[in-house]
Amino acid sequence: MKAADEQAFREFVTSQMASLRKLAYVTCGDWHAAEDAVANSLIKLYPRWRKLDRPDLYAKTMVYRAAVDETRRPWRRGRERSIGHAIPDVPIDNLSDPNGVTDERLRIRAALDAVPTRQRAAVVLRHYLGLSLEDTAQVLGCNVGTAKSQTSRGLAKLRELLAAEQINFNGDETEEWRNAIA
Amino acid sequence: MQLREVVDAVTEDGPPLTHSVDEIISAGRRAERRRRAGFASAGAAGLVVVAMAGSFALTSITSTTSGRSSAAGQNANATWPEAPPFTFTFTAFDAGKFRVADPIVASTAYQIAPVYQTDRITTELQPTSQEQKELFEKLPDGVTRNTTGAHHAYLTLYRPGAFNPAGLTGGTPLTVAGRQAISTSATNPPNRQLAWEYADDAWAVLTAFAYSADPSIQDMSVLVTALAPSPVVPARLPFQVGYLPSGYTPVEIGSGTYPGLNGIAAAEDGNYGGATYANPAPATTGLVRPYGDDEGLPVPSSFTIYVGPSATSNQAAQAGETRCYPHAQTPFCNVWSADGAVVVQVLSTGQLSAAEMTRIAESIEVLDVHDKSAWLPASEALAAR
Repeated sequence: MKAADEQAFREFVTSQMASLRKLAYVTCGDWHAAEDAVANSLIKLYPRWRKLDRPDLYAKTMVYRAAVDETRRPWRRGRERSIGHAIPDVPIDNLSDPNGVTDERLRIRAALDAVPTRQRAAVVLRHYLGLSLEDTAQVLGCNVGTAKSQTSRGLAKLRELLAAEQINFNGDETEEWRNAIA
Repeated sequence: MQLREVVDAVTEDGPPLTHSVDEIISAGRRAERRRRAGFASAGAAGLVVVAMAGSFALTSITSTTSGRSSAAGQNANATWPEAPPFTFTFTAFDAGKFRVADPIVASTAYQIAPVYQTDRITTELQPTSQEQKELFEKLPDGVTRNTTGAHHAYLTLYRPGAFNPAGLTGGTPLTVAGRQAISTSATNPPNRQLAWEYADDAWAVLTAFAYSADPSIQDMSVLVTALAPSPVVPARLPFQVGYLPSGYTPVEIGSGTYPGLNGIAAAEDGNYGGATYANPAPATTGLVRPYGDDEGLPVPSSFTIYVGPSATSNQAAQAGETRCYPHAQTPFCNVWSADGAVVVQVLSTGQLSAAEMTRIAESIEVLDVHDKSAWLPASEALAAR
């Protein structure tokens, strides 16, 4: 790769790595697997960089697929950590959390984890990363109608689960959200 | 609570990123080399695997602890011609499971040729085109192709005095076919090297990156006796430089490819040529690897000319136009041919102004990129008119 292209790649990685890791983590639920999914996807992206019209979509697609693969592993990393699975990877000083913020965070995480994987990814792609329905469909490897229904179902499921935790969940004014609350 | 807050809540406790951007780029470079070498390897396999099947003979290797050995191989008595920089002194040949291609990169200190392993195909990319699928599926009787692990390799022939064998750390001294040799191996990235003295104080180095034990040093040793001199030919370039900033001298060229190990990795990409100039020029002695290291990094205080097809450039063609791109570390300027088909790019390591890079780029006369007979010897092409 020419240095100019590499500089553009560097800027892309610098700006996108964190959000890609969030996509991977929300999809697979394991920080280490998420990190691996992102690193491996970006490494695969490098040789293809100048040949892709939408390297951002390629990266998201690869990360999503790698993260989904991780959830299908028979020996999914972290699954055996029955307690640790719900504990953040960095230690939290309980004394600094007197208002139960960590408890709420764990309940939110449990709710999000309970949304089916594909719906969860659809929601994140569409409403967190801001992808269009067309781009969301491309990353998920489905048609636009399926992407829309997956997003709506994911939002509805999340809303239901958070409501059970007494957490009010509001969505953006989109067709998927209107379907979710219908 | 909005979705953004939901996602932020469950991800804000994430551990710090463990992979740096630099690590990803380094791994990406290696992936690019393996990927390209893998595809090229598939093509080479189709050409030569029949000829090679059954003809594989190992070369004698013995351990040695000190001293120089007299040459005794098949080409031991070959006389290597004195050759100036930017020339080629060997041509493509087959040896064991390897096919060494014509050298395509030359510098003030060495020449480099891609090396293909005829019984392998990369596993990083499965064959996609019909041609690749046919190559992959149709092997001669009795020939199996190992598909485990990616690989790529290149042969560097250093000019006399350029290579410093003592600079190889952790090497194992060997005698290969009567020649002084050193093998080394590394794990990150996984690679092994065989360096041998092909003429007095002149060393050749076969570098192979592979994730398995194949090729072994024993496999690689067949090149020691197979390497032979050919009449000296100048490296030829499809352009002529018109203006050079004061103090800059040519360091490395790529003929039909870009300079350096990037040019070896991109040997099959259909680029036309390139040259790197530096001020000051890097040392031409005491080397243990090509300029820019295995990663193909820019030569310090240098600029590089790339001449290639616009179709594969990352910048959209602007026929007849000149445009500069002010990247912080590696600014560059592009000049497109009148029909927009060819782009000349001058890229510096940051020490040249856009005006200076533009002046260099606009001074370059591009020859008929498709007619290699019209290309100029490097010594002529690289000197400012």
